[in-house]
Amino acid sequence: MTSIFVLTEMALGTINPPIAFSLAPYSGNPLPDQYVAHQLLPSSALAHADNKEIARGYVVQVTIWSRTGLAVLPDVDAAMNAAGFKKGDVKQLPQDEKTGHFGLATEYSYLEVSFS
Amino acid sequence: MPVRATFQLKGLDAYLEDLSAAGQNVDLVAAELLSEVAPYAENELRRNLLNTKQAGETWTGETEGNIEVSDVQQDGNFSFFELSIKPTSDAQEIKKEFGTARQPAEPFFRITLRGHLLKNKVKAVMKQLLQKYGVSA
Repeated sequence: MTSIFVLTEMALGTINPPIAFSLAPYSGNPLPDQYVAHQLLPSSALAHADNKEIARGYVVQVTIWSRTGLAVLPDVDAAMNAAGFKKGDVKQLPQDEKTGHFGLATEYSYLEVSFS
Repeated sequence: MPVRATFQLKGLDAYLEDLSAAGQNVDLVAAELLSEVAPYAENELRRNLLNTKQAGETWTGETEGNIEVSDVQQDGNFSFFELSIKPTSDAQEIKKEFGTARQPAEPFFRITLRGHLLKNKVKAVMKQLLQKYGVSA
C-alpha cells in the first residue's frame, strides 16, 4: 500500500509550475523564496474488524512558506484534492524572523480503507 | 493571537433530553458537566505540551504558564468553556504547534482536542451525572 508520505509527495509533485517541497523540516540551504513542507500529524485508526485495522484517518499539515507574502501561492488545494485529500483547517503563521518567510498551514485529511 | 480551537462532541443531546424528561434543568447539568471537564482539559493540554519537550531542552515555562481555562459560559442553548494559551512574547506556542520555516510542528493543542482522552472524560462525567440524577445511561 502506498504510504501517506508518498501520496502527499505525489500530489505536491503535480503542481504546475513546480514548487520545491519536502518533509518538514525543509532542509535545503539556502531556503527557496517559496517552498512547501509537509508533515503527518497524529492520525488515529477509525475502525477495526477481526482485530485488524480497516480504516485510518490521516491528517497531513502542508505549510506554504513564502518570502513575498501569501497573496500569490501555488494551488496546493487543487493538487491535494485531486489526490483524494480533503481540506481542513487553515492557519496563517507568524513571519519567521530568521528567514523572512510568511507561512500558511493547511490541514488535509485522507481516509485510508483497507479490506483484506 | 491566542491559540484557540473548538471541541464539540456529538451524541450528548439524547442524554440531555433524558435528563430534561426526568425533570432536571439541562442548562445546570451541562454547566456541571463542563465544570468537571474543564480542569481535566487544562491538565491534558499541559501534559501534551510537556510531552513535546526534548531531552536537554531548557524551557522558560512561559507557554505552560499562559494556559488558561475559562469558567463555564452560556450563549443561548450553547454551553461552553474556553481553553486557550495567551500569546507569549515571541509566539512560541504557535511556532511549536505549527512549526517554523526550519522547524517541524510539534502539535500539542490539536491533539488535546482531537484525542480520545478528552472525549472519554466527557462521556464518563456524563454517565456519572446521569446516575446522580437517576437517569439510566
